[in-house]
Amino acid sequence: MRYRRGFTGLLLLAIMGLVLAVPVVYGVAEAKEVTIGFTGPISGVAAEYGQDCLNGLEMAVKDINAAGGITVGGEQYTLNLVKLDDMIDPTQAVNNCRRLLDQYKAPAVFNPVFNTLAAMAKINEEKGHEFLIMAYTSTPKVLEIGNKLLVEIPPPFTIYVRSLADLAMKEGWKKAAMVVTLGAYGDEWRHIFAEYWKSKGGQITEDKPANYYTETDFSAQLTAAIASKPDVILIGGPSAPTALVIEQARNLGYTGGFILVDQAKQDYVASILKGTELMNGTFGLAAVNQLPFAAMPAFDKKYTEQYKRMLTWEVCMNYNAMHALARAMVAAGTVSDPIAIHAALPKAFPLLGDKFPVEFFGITPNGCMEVAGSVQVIKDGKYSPVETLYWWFKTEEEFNKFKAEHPAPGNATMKFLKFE
Amino acid sequence: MFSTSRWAFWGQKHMQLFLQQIFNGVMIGSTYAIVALGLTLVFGILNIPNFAHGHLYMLGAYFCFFLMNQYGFGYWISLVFSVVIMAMVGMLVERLVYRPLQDRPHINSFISAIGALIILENGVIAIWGPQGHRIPNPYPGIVKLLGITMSYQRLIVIVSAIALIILLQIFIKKTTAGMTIEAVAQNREGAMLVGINVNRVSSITFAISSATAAAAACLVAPIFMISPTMGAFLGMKAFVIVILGGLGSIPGAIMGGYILGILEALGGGYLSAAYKDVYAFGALILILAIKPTGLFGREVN
Repeated sequence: MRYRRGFTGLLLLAIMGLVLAVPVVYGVAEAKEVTIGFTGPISGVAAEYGQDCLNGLEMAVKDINAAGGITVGGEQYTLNLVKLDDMIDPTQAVNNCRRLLDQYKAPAVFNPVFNTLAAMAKINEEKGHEFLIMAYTSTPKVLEIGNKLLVEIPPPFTIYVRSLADLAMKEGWKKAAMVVTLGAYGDEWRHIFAEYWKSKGGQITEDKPANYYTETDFSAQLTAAIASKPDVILIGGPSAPTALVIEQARNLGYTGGFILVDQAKQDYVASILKGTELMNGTFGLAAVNQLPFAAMPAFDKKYTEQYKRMLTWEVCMNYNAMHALARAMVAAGTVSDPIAIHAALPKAFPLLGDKFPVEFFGITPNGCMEVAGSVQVIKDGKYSPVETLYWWFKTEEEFNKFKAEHPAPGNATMKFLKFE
Repeated sequence: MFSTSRWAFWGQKHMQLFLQQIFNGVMIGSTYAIVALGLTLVFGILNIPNFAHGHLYMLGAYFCFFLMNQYGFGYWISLVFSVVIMAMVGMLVERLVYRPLQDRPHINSFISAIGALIILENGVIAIWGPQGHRIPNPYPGIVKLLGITMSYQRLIVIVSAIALIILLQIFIKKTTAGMTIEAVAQNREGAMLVGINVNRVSSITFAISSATAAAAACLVAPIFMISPTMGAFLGMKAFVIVILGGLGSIPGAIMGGYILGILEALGGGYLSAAYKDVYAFGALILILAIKPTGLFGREVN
């Protein structure tokens, strides 16, 4: 027995030795590697959302590496994506960032949730431990933090508030109820929407937020909202529960319209509801695979084949953002200095529709990527043409000049919205 | 004259709204009641809280989804199969997770229960992915009754839940197997002395508890969405209900389930859903403060 225990111990030691030895052996043979971090919800209530973001990043890394990686300062690097789960817990997200920094020397970390981003933004500027935060959130508040090493990937949702409210008002609708997701993001959406809606002469008849992450029965809130006889209800959180909200509202006899917050994607909602039958009079983000860019159909096909999942905005935006980051590292001539990489970001653009599923034109001085917003209306089971929203120009003239250089793709219409 | 009719109109409108909310609450309360019932049965027999109960509920919905999706079975057939499979899974869980630790300190069972729920949740994620899935609604369409809008599936949930609760009562009170369960719950040593095989009773109890949870899950699945985390939240609520109704008490679990459902609907509809969980825990604290054993709990000497 004694002998056997000793033998097992030796065996374990030998195995551990082998495990430790393998990376060393490989390390010599392989090209240099730079690790890009991801912390986000890979399990738990927001897992699906986190997984979609991750898929986009992973696909970009695969594509970049397949094309030979990046050349920085005369040396060849391949990208390595390390993903850690934080289950939208801010403490865990911060711990993950420290690990990505200490263990993997990651110059940049991607994260897709405002609550965790706010915590991360407190540690990423510590002297000697800087890292770049690639933030996939549309909350305008994230820019108010004033973090110098934070990049916001999607457009601030204020532009959606305004364009969707304007479109709904064109229907002659004045009375709006709200059943929006709880949390910092949803609260801000409700607040900004209500303010804008009222400023245009509209009326908020009922405001009943719901927890889209933990609840599946929204009938109590919807009953109250519908009883106030609204023309339109502002709803939304993650796409899947948003679909349930629509179905449950219709089952309570509601026939009016819906405005979807930008987290909920109309195309995904429709796929859950098995069609647009229940979605008559729905205003929201454009169906991503209907974006009129040349590279989209091939990208859509490639993604759905590889991942057996429907293509989403999360995938496309994160895919582009990873490319932008890789280009910035090349332009900065370093893979280890986040400040230099951040400074070189403007040189990474444009990423245009001939090669990318969505178009990124640049980065604003306060760190938001210049991506047009895209909205669509569903009426009588059909999607309207895409309306693209350009928000980063200071003046109408600037926009017109841009428009002359970049005419509207496909059958989309272009619209200028001044962003304050 | 004018004003009275106006008041009558006001009253009618608000009455309708109130009844609608009660209907919403009874619907969700039905599922709470069934799930809490299974939990309280197990607690009565083994004196351990089955932390994995919510996850067995989740697994039941996934089996139903799997059978419909993979083999194209009808809704009711899938439901029955799922219930049968889950009865067996329940027995398996009892045999593997709880029985080996029977004579150990309770904390050991707690830990192995948490292990079981982690395995169940991640197993489902590994097979079906983290995203939600939908079971197509077999009975779309709505009826209006007394100004209340009801969908057929919600009505089915309410009716089936009541039927299930009655059947379970008959089983426990009228059949020998059922009576042994009650006997063990009342006095374990006494039951052993009169020759009841306690291990077999544990096994049966777990089978019933998992089967009823599966039935509840399959019934509401077409209205909602199934996801790997659906059980965690419901499991937690079921615990609140069981404590609220009195640990181990069957009528307590049923009443507690409906009370919680209605409280949530009224709270979410009239006050704010931001505090939905506050209503549940608020009610719990209030009831325990007045009656520390829960609504129907027995005094423990």
